Amino acid sequence: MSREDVISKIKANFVPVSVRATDLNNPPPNEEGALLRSIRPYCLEQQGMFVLNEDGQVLTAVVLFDSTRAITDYLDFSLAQFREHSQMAVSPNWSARRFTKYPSVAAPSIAAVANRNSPFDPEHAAGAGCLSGACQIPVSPRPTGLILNMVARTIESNGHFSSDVIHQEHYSQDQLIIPLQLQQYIAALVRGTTGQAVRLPDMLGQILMMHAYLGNMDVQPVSSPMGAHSDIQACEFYAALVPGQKNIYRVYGKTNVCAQGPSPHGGGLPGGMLNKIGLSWYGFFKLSEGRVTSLSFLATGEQKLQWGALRPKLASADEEVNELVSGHPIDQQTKVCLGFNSETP
Amino acid sequence: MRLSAAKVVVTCLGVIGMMLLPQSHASDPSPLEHLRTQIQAMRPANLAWHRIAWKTSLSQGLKEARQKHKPVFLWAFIHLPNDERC
Repeated sequence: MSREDVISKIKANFVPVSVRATDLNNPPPNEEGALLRSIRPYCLEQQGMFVLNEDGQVLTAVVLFDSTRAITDYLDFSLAQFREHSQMAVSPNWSARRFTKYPSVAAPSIAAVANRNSPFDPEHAAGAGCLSGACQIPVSPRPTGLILNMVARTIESNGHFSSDVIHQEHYSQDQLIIPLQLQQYIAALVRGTTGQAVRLPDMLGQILMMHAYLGNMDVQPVSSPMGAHSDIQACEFYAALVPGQKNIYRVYGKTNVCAQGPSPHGGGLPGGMLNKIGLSWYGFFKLSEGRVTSLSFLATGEQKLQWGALRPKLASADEEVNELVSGHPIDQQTKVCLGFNSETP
Repeated sequence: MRLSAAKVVVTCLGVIGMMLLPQSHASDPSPLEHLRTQIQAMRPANLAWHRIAWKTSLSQGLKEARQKHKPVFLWAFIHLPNDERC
């Protein structure tokens, strides 16, 4: 999703929507969930891309591409399908076109489903077409807490950040949440202290360590989604009131974790995964109303990352679009710098 | 002992941070805001995929699709493409 021609084509010709695969596979009990549920029959994997007409009818579905050129070809193909089958123009005999890999590996087409009970049906929107009552159920609220946005970059031998901001092993972004209860606990711990440092709860460090790394989400070093073993060798944070400030605390700490898995993906990843990352931290947080209301942390250190390293290296970007699901081979050891900023309240 | 070692680390970090990160010219109201600005500068200004204004609600996307007579391009992966790891 980083090629200029792909971005231009999507911006000019489509309404771009992104949803989490977890919501697609386990739709929430609300209007949005009912829409996502209507897409489920067209899924080839637990993830994928789809083009829909204005009525919510899936026209095309794809998981992988033969080449980078095939991405724009797929978008053109989908636009042609849209021109032919736009709103209300899908005939009963028409089928959605699906591709495991576009254009070489087609999957069985699926007939258009009757969409009359879709929440997007105009009658439904007026309150007349809902059979299930699903749209009456309110959206579940997101977990409450302080949202942190993370940015992580590798540092090259010349001391500068890597210029590669496409591959996650060189440039990563992430979001995490510090739960309200943990904020309140930290506030209670440091309240009343003046200059002396107070050790912060390990839970804070473990939440940070889960997200403090470069690479794809499968190499998460703590609570590994791939079931990798995590050896936490250091996790300690301290806070002390900044002189001259009444509610801003300086934080410093150290984390060190090594996660190792023999061969995720059912043995289909030669070389398995290794993520060893040691970081030194400093930063600040601000207390207000008995909780943490603002936070900025910087961490620097070194990361050794291997992911399917025994696989043959990919020869070109064309091959990367074939590896969207399992990711390309990685074998690197680099200096890293990570920053965490809380969202502005 | 731990605290002393950590303080040494903090000093080193400060030096490294000063070398790596752009310097702030503003008269910062607090050290927190100063660091926040430096961390924000780690993000490139023109990330390619940030130029797509993703909606995160399919129903909202379909409403816009009807208004603009355009198809919806639906991206359904583990995380959202803008700010989360995938």
